[in-house]
Parts: sequence; C-alpha cells; structure tokens
Amino acid sequence: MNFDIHALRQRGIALVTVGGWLVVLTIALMAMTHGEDALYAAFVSALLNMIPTWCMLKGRTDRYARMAVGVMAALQPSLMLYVMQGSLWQIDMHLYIFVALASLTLLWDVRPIIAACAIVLLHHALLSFLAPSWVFWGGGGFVRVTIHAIATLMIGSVLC
Amino acid sequence: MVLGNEQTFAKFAPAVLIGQVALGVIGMAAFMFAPRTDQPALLYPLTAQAAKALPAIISRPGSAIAARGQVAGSYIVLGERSGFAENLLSRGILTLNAAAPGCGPALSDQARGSNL
Repeated sequence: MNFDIHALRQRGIALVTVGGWLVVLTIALMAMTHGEDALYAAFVSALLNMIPTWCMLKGRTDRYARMAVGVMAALQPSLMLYVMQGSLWQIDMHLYIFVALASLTLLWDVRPIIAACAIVLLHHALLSFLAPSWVFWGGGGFVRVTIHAIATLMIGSVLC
Repeated sequence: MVLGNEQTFAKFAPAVLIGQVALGVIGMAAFMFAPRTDQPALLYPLTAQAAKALPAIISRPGSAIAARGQVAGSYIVLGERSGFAENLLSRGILTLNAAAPGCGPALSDQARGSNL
C-alpha cells in the first residue's frame, strides 16, 4: 500500500482549514446571543484563517504552511473561550483545544503540534494574569493553569 | 531571472509562517484593545494639544468620566460612543477598551473604588 505524504498533508490542511471556517461560522452565530464581542472575535477568527486558506487553495504543504495551520488551530479555540466569558459553559470550550490539537495529526508532522501546544500554554499563562476571565470562569490562578498546562503537555506528547 | 512557481514558493515559504504569526499577534492585540460601544473606554491623548482638549471633550453631555487612567492625562469614560473612536483619533486621542490589560483605572482611583 502506497502513501503519498503530499496528498495526505494536502487533505489534512484542507480539513483543518474547513474546520477553522466552521469556528468562524460558530462564533458569528454566537453573536446572536453574545452581541458585538462575538462579531469582533469572528472577524479575528476569519483573519487567522486567511493564510491557511491560501495554502489550501495553492496546494502548499511545506513545513511553513503546516506551521501556519498549527498557529491557526491553536488560536481559534481561544476566541471561543473569550466569547463564552462569564458563562458556566466557558470551561466546556476548553474541549475544543484538544480537538484542535488532535486535528493537527492530519498534517503528518510533529512541528505544528508542538507549536500549537506552546501557543496554548502561552495563551493560558499570560491571560490567567492579564485577563483571567477570558480563559477561566471565576478566575485563573496558578493551580488551575498548571492543571490545564499538564493536560496540554500530556496530549501534545501523545499526539507527537 | 524569472523563477518558476515552485522556486517562487520556496523562496517566500517562510513568509507564510511569519505572516500567520503576525496576523495572530496583531489580530489578537487589536481584538484585546479595540474599544466596545457598550463598555468603558480609556481615552489616551497622543499629543500635548489633545491632552489639553480632552477634559472639555469628555465633559460634554452623553459621556461620563468614570476614573483616571493609569497613564497621566488619560481618562476612563462611560456612555454612548458610536463613531466616537474615529472622531477622537482625528483629534489625537486614542480610544482603547478599558477592560484590556493595562487600560484600567489608576491605582489611586481603584483604591477609592471607581464606578467601573
């Protein structure tokens, strides 16, 4: 059985990018209940999808294209977390971080997974001090960030 | 020399990643600091002239000073502000989201308990 790595990566980039656009749509729909903030988030979400979409349309699968898709996949769930701030359901949005990380296995490269895990860790660590409500309902704190960081490192290790 | 498609892509390949990171950073920062019409806004004068004009501008009906900002000469205001940011920027005043990191009330106002 032959595997064409280029074709597999092309399909992976296409699937993750389509997933990214579904996030844009979801956040835009959230604007109906969460107002203007969700529209801002949908705009940024669409912006993050531009370069992966270009890579998909051009059929690019080089390491830079794969890393660009990894950056997009890591940041999209953070926008969902932001939109759900102040809601009990915000914590549930963290599940989509794991979906995003797992989707990167479709790129057949560990680098986007490592980069995405690093971005998630950085996002949680920075915002838990700068704007805790954007990540955690009821505030962050060292223990809570550590629990999330360990889970991210563990899933990152498994996926690599 | 004219490069082929593949060669052109290879030459500019790192730009894809740099562009994506730049979009991520700029997009997230703009998102974080962009003023919202229904939330308090931090008004930060960019010029000495704007600093002089700012108190008069924010004392007009329709807006209320909630606190002083952390940077001298800046104020946090409440009130209806559609199209406010664009108008103020043309007068040298930067409008930011007061809920963003570093854009909250001055420490002395926080201690007094501002109405934010």
